[in-house]
Amino acid sequence: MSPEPSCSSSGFPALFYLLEAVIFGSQWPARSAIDPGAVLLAAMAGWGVLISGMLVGARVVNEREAGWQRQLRLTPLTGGGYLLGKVAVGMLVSIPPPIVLALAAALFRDVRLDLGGWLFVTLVITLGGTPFAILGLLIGQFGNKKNTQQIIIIGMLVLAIFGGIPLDALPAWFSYIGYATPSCWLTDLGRAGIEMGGDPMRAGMILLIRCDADRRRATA
Amino acid sequence: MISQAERRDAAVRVQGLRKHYGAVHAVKEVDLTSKAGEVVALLGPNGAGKSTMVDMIVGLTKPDSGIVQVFGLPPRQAVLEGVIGAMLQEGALLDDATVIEMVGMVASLHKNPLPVREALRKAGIEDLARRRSTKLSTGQKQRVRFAVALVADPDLLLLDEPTAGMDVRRRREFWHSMQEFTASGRTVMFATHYLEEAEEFADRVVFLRDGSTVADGSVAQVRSLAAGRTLRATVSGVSEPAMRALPSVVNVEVRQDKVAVLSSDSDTTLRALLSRFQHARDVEVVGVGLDEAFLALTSRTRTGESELS
Repeated sequence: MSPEPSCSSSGFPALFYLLEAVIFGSQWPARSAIDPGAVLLAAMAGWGVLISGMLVGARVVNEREAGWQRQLRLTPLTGGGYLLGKVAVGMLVSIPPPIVLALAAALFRDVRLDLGGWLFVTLVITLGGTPFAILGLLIGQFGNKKNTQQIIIIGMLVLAIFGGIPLDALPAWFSYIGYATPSCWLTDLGRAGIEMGGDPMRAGMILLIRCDADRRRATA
Repeated sequence: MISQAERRDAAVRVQGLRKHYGAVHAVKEVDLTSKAGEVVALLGPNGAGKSTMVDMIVGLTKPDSGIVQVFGLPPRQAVLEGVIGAMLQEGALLDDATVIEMVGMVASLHKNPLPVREALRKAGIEDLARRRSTKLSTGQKQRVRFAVALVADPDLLLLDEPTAGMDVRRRREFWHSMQEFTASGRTVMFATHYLEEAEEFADRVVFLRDGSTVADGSVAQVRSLAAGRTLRATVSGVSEPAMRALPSVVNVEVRQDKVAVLSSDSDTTLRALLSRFQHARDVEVVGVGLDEAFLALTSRTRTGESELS
C-alpha cells in the first residue's frame, strides 16, 4: 500500500500546462479580464488529479493478479479497510501534481492568485479527486492486467474531454453531456479558485454524491 | 494467542466438508481432526483437493457444507485472532516491493506480530531484506512466503506445497527452518505430493484422492508402504488364499491365472512364491507408486482397480 508518486505523473500535467498555455495564450482575446494561464491551471490541475487517482486501478489489478489480495485476506484487514486504504493512496498520489502545476504557473506564467485561490487549485481539487480514485479502484477490481491500462486511458480521455478539460470552447451539447461526468465538476471546483464563476459548494456536493455512488459499487 | 489449555484441544476440526466447482467435486465429505502440536501432511496427486482443503481451513473458500474450526473458532475469527498463518501456493508477492516491505506490511496488520527482523531470521532470509521480489529465486520466494506466514506468530501454520520448485538441498533447508517452529509445540498442516516429504517431516499423513480421504495413518505405516513392491506373475491354477498366505503380502489381485501381489518386502515374498509355485512364469517386480501404496493401506475399503491388465 505504499504510495509511489512517480515523477512522470506529477510532472506531466505541468509540462502539458506550459505547452498549452503557449498555444492558447496566443489565441486568447486580448481584452479578456481572465488570465489564460489561470484558466488552464484550474483545468490541468483537475486533469492531474484525475489521472493520479484513476491510476490506483493499475496498482489494485496488479495486487489482485499477484495473489497479494488473497494474502491480505489472511490478515485481520477487512475488505472495506483494504479499499479505504487504496482510496487514501489514490488521494495521496493526487497531491503532488496540482502543486507542481501551481508552481509552474506561478514561476513561468506569472499567474497570481490569492491564498484561497491557490488552495482551491491544489488541495481542494485533490479532495475533489476522491471519486476518481474510487473509480480507479472499481476498474482495478473488475479489470484484468491486460485491459485495465486501456480502460483507464480511455476513461481518462472521455472524462477529460467531457469535463471541459482543457477548455470549454466546445459545442453546447458537449457541455450538457459534461454535466453528467464528475470531471466537469472537478474543473468547476478549480474554476472557483480563479474566480471564474464555478460554484464550489455545488461542485463539491455533486462530487460527494458521485463518490458515494462509486463506493457502493466498489464494495458491492 | 491461544492459551496452553486451548492448545491441547483440536487444532483443526473438519467435519463433513464438501466443495464443488460446477460439476467438479473438489472435496467430498472430508472429516479430519488434528491435535495441537501435530505435524500433518495432506498428501495426494494434483487435483486431489489439497489446495481446496487448505483454502477452506484458512477461510479463503466457503465450503458448500460442513464445519471447519481452528482451535474452536470459525476460520475468519481465527484469522482475526492471529491464530492462523498460511503460506499459499504461487504468487502472493508484490512485484514492486522489497522483502522487508512485504513482511512489514503484513506484520502491521496483525494484532501481536513477531518483530519483522525475527520473522526474516526464522525463515532464513535476513540477508534478502532489501531485495525486490522480482529478483528472488523460486526457493527464495517460498521462504519469503514462509516469513509472511510466520510474522503473524500463529499457532497453526498451513502450507500449500511449500517446497514446490525447490531442489532437494533447498527443501531440506526449508524443513530445517520449519523445525524451530514445530519445536515450540505449534501445529503445522502442509499439502504436498512428495511422499518422502510427508514421510520425513510429518507425524501423520492424510492421503487425499479425488476429493476424499483414502487413508489416514501414522508415518510408520506410510514408511512400510513406501518400501513396498508389486510382484506380477502368471501362475496357472492359482487361488487368492494361497497368494495371501505368502509372507509380507499386503494385497492380492487374481484374475484367471495372472496375479498381482503387493508386498512390503518383495524379496521374501518372491522367494516364497517361487518355492511354492515352481511353475510361476513372467515374473515381474516393480516399485509401488504413491497411489498404489495408499490403495494398499486402504485395501479393506477399496481394492486395487488396475492391478491386472
